[in-house]
Amino acid sequence: MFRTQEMEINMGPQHPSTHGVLRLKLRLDGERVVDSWPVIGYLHRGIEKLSESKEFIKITPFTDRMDYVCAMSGNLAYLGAVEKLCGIKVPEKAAYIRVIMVELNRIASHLLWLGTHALDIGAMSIFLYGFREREMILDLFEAYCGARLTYNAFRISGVPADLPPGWKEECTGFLKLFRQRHREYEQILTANRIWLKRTKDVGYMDAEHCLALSVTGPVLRAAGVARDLRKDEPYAIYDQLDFDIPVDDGCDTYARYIVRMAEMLQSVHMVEQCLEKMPSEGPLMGMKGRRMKPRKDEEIYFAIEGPRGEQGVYLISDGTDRPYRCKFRNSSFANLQALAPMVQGGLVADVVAIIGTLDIVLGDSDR
Amino acid sequence: MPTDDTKPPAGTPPPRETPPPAPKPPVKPPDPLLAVVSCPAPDRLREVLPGRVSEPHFFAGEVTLTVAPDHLLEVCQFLRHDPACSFELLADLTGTDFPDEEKRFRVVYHLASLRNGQRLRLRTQVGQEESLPSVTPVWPGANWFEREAFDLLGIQFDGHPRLVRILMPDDWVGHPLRKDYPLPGYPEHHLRYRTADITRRSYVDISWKATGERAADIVKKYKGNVGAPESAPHVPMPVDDTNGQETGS
Repeated sequence: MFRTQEMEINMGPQHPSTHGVLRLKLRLDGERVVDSWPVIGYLHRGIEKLSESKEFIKITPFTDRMDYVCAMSGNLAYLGAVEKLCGIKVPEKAAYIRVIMVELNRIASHLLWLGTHALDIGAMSIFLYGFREREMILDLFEAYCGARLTYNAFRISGVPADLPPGWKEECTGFLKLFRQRHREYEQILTANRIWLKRTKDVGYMDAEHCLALSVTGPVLRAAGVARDLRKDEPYAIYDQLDFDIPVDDGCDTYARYIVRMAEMLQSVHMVEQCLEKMPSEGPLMGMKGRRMKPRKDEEIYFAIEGPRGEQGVYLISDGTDRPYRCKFRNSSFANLQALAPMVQGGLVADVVAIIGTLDIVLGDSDR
Repeated sequence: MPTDDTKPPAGTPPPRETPPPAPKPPVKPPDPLLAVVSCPAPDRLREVLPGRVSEPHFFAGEVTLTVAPDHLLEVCQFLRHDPACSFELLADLTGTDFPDEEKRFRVVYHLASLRNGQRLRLRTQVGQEESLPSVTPVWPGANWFEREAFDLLGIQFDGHPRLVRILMPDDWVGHPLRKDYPLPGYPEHHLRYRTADITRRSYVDISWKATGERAADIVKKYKGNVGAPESAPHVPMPVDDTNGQETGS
């Protein structure tokens, strides 16, 4: 007699498909997932506690270490919050440079997502192609700020340096090349039968549930909600750029793939516009000196659209140049809540696809 | 003989000095950070649920309302479902420790409305021995945010489905984001995990820099509580100083 029995297994924290140190307790009935319980915190470094003892200016490097796949966005979210708290204006040219860097980093982040997500599902070659182009973006960042992963590229009220000579041409060349390469990715995956079978109707979550679970970013846009803070609450110079919000109403893993692929092209379009419109002369820093004097006992929340969703920073000032409280609202943390309802009732093999489609970075969620 | 024309003839009264105009206080332009922004939520709340929330506070284009914990759930239900407010998204929920205040924790709810393009901050105060109603019935996404606030600050939420630690280990003692929790942590907790045994490197050395105590003293001080560290003496890792070259003949 065969007998079925529910079984509890641990996936992670060192499973290669969990993109870091996510541990997932799964209760399985055969190959079906009955229940799951994500365990996070393996990368908790106490950045919020540390920030309370540092000056505003010294917290920027921490923000690199949270979402290390898209460190520029972390920098921009934090610095935008400090600038909002202190009422500091950013010069136009600096804002353009920031947007160029952030959008390039969004492409790099999506490329890493594409490569690892496809690799988890079983497509090897796209991983190598994606990393080839990501390498070019990292080279551009290295030429600008000297770092390839933890950039710390911006300062409060501006950027420290202009684009180096020849950088614009390099960047334009890359964007032109990337448009061709993007077509290659689409050729490999978009109509691929295996890819469709592994992603269609996997990890379904509609708009209502996404919003109820505080899920934002491409996951929400793939559920048919055109929520993008770059349009809804424009910061930096996004109101001067012409771009669309890619939306799909498939609500599944494939729809998220379509949305992220389209977002990469929109980012390319944005960087091209920035390079064209950026003023050639002008100040790079809006403020002299390093002392911040925020108003006493005020609090602000500032959010940007990161590659994974709403990336917010909440600051409370006590009138000194250190924050009384510095809370990072990271999109990976909020989006991970959607994992348990998405995997419930599905197959174990789809858990890997769903972790990939949520595009989580554990450093981002654990802080 | 030249006469001094400028000198007034004797007998005439000295010209009355006109008092200088009083210095006007310099007119400061209003601080753009304190500008009032339009938001329908405070007015709607005043109409429908009078007296539940405070007057709105405006700063940097953001609206803050303070609410008492007793009315929190009612106000949240209203803000979520009222068509003029319609805050579908709980963007963030977090707490802050103010140890000098009577009610120690300040909890904020950052709400966002996609339909109306509005944001709102709800704020409430809760004491160390009190608890807040959980807003998971209104926004199920509050689940992890409330777990985080419980984990790092020790705020209790009534009605939460499973209020357990999320970022710190399950058997951790204390709540690290409280202001009275020291930044290097408590050395006895480091010893409890016996990191020294595992990594052959002592975390006590880090806290020694912060507290000024020698690692050996700390070990002695806490020896009674956590077992004898002498049983696992510090053994330096064997250093390979041959630099990769073959030794011997």
